[in-house]
Amino acid sequence: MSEIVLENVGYEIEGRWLVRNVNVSLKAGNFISLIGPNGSGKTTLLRLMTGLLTPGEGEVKLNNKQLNEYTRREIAQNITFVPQDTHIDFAFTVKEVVTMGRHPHLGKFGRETAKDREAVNEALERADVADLSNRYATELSGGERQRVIIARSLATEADVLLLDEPTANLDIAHAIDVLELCRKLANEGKTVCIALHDINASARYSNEVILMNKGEIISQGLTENVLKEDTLNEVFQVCSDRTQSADGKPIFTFYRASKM
Amino acid sequence: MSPAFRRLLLKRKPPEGGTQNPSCASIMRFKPNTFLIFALLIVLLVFAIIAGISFGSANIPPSIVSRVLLSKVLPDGWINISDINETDFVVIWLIRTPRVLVAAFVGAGLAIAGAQMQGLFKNPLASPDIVGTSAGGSFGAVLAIALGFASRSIFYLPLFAFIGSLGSLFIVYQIATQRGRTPTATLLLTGIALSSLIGAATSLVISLKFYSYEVAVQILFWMMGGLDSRTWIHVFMIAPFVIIGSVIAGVFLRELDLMLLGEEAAESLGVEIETTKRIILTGAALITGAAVAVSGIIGFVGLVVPHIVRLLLGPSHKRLIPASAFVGATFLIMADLIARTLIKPEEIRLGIITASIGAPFFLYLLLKHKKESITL
Repeated sequence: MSEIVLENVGYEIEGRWLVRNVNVSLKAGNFISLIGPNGSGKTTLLRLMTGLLTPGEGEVKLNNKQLNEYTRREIAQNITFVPQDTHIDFAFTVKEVVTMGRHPHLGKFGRETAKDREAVNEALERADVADLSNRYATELSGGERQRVIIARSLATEADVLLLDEPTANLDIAHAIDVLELCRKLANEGKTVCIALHDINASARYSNEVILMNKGEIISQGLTENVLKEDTLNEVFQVCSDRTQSADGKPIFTFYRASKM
Repeated sequence: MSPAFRRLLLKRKPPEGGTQNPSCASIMRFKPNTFLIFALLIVLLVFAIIAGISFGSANIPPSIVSRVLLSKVLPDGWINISDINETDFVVIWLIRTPRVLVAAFVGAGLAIAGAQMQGLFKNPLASPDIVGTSAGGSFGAVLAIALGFASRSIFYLPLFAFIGSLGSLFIVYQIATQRGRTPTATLLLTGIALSSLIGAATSLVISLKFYSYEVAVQILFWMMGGLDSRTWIHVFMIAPFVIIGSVIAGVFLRELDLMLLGEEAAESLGVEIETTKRIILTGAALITGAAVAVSGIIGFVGLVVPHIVRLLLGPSHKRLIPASAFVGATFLIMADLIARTLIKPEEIRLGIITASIGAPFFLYLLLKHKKESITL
């Protein structure tokens, strides 16, 4: 059960603020989706949460302690990050790649124990890549690689999962699988935050949403409160229609208004 | 070697259906073949050592060589060597064994350092001297010879070379580091640039000494690399550094694997990137510095040996580093043997042999993999 809090966080490169005035609290048991147009700062925000970037302003806290007070290994034991780019240029087997997810738990001289192997096998099953175990990572399709990287994150058994557009290369079935897996993990008490382009996926699976634009948070909170037509129209510069699916979930249809 | 062949050698097969007890199955599939390959490599190394000591300008039967070696390794009295000729004994124990041991340490060390550099820079063309260590070592050695120190004591040349190696790595590292981070691309380019600069300085020193024929020849011979007249003192000069460097490499095997996935991925899995880089670079520099100090510039071992091993055993450093050590040692012992015996009793410079074998082999690898680009 872990919690990440960002207080007044800002990050700049050469005078340009990629993210500013961010106040966010990610609590355990929640599936939070992070949405916004390209360049709104979603990836930067996720990187700040994992500690890969140090904020120029404000503080990032994990369980009430500042991130820079933890060692990298401690952070890795608690927070796992699935990046957008999942390229693997080296002929590691899928199993070897997923086993690397155990690194935060193995000391310098640690040998893999049964517990580690179990975690790896479970991760392989949950991400549906168990039958790819002995394939080389260089031979996989983009979608298969993405699921392998997700498996690697699951193998870390971290309480906080941060994923940057994990469904980008996945076919419909696998995309649903990943989102439902994240939903399940959140129900089990993990903190899951996913950057998504698909508003409908966000509407359907997440219980909280953070909407960003130009580095600032426009709106955050419960899904139904944030995903409102006029807010979305303004942020994404589109028109939207909201309907409902058979099981009561909102469905948004987007289109461009004709230029007046 | 195609991935298909490698898979055959490693007997890796995807499991038929689901995964029943997959952890057990994967161990069974894996270990016997890796184990066999390592056993083979050790056997080859032992043969190389015995061959290296037995053959030369005068050949000594391998059986005598084995008995002398065993008598030194086992407790006194176990092996009877009273019937062995005094000259043979001196040649074996005081001349050839130290030379072969230096070859083994230098070969193993350069291969380990090369494997680490290729992993660190994620660049298949990386070699141990890429961060300026060879250039710096050359400069130090050339200074020692030119200023006359080398002839005063057996220790000056290696000392100058070693300081030159580490000094140049230090300079490269300082230039390439900004705000506590050392991007590998910057490190690589800085190393290349500084190597050129130091190379120019070295050439200057050499050119100023052209009038003295003996000095110029000594410098040239040294720069071509060689193990002539290496004694037990040289063994004790190189062994500690290769051992320390190997231990450092051994401690960071998993980190190097993770860094192959990208610095960000490695960092998010708990690796302290900058500290790890610094330690690995230092370990590799210690090895390379000592190798340059003791044997001159020997190229291609650090570049080609890791590639050969990767083709056989894959990119994981847990297998790559130890196997590279064995193959590197074997390779250099055999190369030195060829250097000594091809036009005996003359000796060909070792650097010439390693380049003559290494370069064509590297070209062969490139041509073989024309379709796929050469990766790690």
